[in-house]
Amino acid sequence: MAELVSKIIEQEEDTLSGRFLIFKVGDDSYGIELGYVTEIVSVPKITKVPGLPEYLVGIINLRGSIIPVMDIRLRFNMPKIEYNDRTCIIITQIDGMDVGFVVDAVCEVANIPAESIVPPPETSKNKSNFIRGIIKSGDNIYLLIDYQSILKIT
Amino acid sequence: MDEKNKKKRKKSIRHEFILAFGTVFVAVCVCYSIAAGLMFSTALRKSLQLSLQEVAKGAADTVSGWVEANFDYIDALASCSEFFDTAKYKETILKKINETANEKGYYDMLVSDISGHAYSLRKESIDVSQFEFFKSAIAGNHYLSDPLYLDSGEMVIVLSVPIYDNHNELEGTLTAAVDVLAFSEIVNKVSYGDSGYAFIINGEGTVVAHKDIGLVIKGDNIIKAAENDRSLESLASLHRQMIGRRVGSGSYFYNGEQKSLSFAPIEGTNWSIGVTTVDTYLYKDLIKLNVVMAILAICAVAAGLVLACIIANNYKKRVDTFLGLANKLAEGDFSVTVKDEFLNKKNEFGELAHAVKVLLENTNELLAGINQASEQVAAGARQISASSAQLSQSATEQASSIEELTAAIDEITQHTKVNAENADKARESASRAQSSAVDGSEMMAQMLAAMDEISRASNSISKIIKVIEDIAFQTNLLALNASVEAARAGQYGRGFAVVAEEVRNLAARVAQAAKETTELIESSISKVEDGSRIADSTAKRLSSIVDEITKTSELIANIAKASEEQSAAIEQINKGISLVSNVVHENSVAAEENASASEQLSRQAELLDKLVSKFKLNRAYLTVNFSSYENGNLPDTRSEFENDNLRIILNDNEFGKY
Repeated sequence: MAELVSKIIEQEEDTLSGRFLIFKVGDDSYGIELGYVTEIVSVPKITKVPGLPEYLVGIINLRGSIIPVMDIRLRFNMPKIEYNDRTCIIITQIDGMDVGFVVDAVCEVANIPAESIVPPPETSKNKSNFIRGIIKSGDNIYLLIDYQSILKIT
Repeated sequence: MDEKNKKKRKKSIRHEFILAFGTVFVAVCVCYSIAAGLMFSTALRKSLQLSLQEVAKGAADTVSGWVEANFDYIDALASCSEFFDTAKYKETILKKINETANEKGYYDMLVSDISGHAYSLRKESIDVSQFEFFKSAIAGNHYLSDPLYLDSGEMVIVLSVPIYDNHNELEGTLTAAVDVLAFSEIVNKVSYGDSGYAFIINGEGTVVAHKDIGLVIKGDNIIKAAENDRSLESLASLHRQMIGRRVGSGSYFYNGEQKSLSFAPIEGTNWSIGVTTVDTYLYKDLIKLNVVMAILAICAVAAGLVLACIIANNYKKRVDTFLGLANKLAEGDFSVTVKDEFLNKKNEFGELAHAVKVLLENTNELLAGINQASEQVAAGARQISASSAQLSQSATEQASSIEELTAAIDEITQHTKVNAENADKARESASRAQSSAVDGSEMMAQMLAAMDEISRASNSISKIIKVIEDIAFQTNLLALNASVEAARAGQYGRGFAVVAEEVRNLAARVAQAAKETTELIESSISKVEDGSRIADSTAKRLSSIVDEITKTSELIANIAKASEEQSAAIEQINKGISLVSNVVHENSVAAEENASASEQLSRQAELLDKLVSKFKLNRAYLTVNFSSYENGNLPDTRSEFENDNLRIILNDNEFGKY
């Protein structure tokens, strides 16, 4: 039914808008606009680059392209875990710049209507800089990450 | 007195006693009298003879003195100077000799010269040279003649002495003639008692002086007379002793009279004087003595008989006392006591009384002891009888018990055999169980190996599933990428997106299935591990079971062996019990014999008891135990033996003492 509904919606609107890639870091599920996503790969060999913040774990060679890789967990100040077979890197592109995000797992591609997205609760000014909104999908909650602020290097 | 200890019975004892005593007294008195008479007569005779001898000695001395005095007188006369010449002084001499003859009572005096020419008062002249007296006197000797006849018919004794002058030369002899009657007067002065007289015999035994002058005149010689008359031999032997110049005494019979003679030689002569007396003189005193003695003896016998009567009565009384006591004893009454008056006596009666007392004590003690012992024996016999019966019964019970025991042991033997067999079977079962357990252990090892295989296979499956999971993941990634690509493709990629979604769904399903399989496989692996562990422990258990079964097998073998030994032991027990059975049987028999013997003993004891109960015993020996008898106080009260109060009660400590 969802598929049928999404089909109907896609037929009416832009195919990329309203579509999100859902991934998992820790116990929580996050969402990112599918428009930024170019590819999902398993974790290849990561070459560390000295002098960078800790969450920038290194660079990878993806079919000849050198792509920097950021560990979302570290970026979110979560404890580091060892990478395993199921650890994925989401390759994104924005303004011609490719960046890989290390996530615990990639779940699905989901169609989220705009009314299901609500802004995050305003508790403090600087907190939840990385969260742009909260997606409600059925009983689940996906945190919509703020791509731009994540990439801002302080 | 000692003979009086021989007690006789009743009155005849006294008679016998007195008779014997009297006889003895009479005999003793008679013997004593006779012996005393004999001894007295002997002593008297000896004394008589001794006194006769003294008289004889005195007479001998007298005669000797007379002779010597006359010789001295004549000698003195002869030493007068007138006699140196007998012829010249004849007148003077005759005057002197006449004076002398008158003075001395000589019959005649005769003076001779050296040649033998003599004259006397009665004869003018006489030749005496051939006369013996002259010969002897002229040889210088004093001569005393035997009686000799003168021409005138007178019988005289002459005394002659030699006459020496102043120059000690022999001048002649002076002789005095004494009438034998005058001489005999001298001898006749000697007397002894009424009938005693003296006589003199010369060296040949011829009478020189005698009371009976006729004998002198006759020249009687007993020695010679005895050659013809044997009755004079005793006197002749005495005369022979006299002429042997011995001093002595003797008895002889003369004219039917017993006479005593004592004699002694007369010094200065060859004569011997004898003094003789008739013994009747002597017996006069003896008879008096005998009469006195007989009276005394009769008195003594009478006194003795009286004394004997008194003593006999006295002793009879005592003997009667003891007889009464003995009679009581004979009747069986031992409760009598000996009176103190007897006990206090120091003589044999006292000893007898003491002996009887001791006898009584001992007999009392003995009888009391027998009495008690018989009671004890009776009681003991009864006990023995009872216990024997009990023993017999016990033996019978024992026998039946032993039979039961034998049966039980037989049963045990059977059981033991069954046991042994079962033990054998158990051993076999155990060995089978052991081999089964070993097999089980091997099986378990195989199972473990199989489990390992399963585990390995599961691991392989797990790897494969991992691969599948990987593939699913990759597929999922691919599907996601395809979705992303499809979304990028916009309207053109819409169908592809659907496919990608489908692929992603498939991948998800594969992943789900793989996940489920993995879970299953993991569970299977863990199960296999559990099984392995269990199998391991099972194997260990089995191994320990094998060990245990081995031990059990050994134990069972031991049990089997023990059962065999038990069997042997039970066999021995069987033998032993059969021996015991025999012994019990013998015991039973012995007990029965015992019982009958003790029955007999009991009867004997009762008989003894009955016999002893005939004796009356002193209470002191019945009421207390024997150790108290030493105080010697014997109560005079008589005890009835039949009285139950007087039964002796012995406690256990004293049991077996008697």
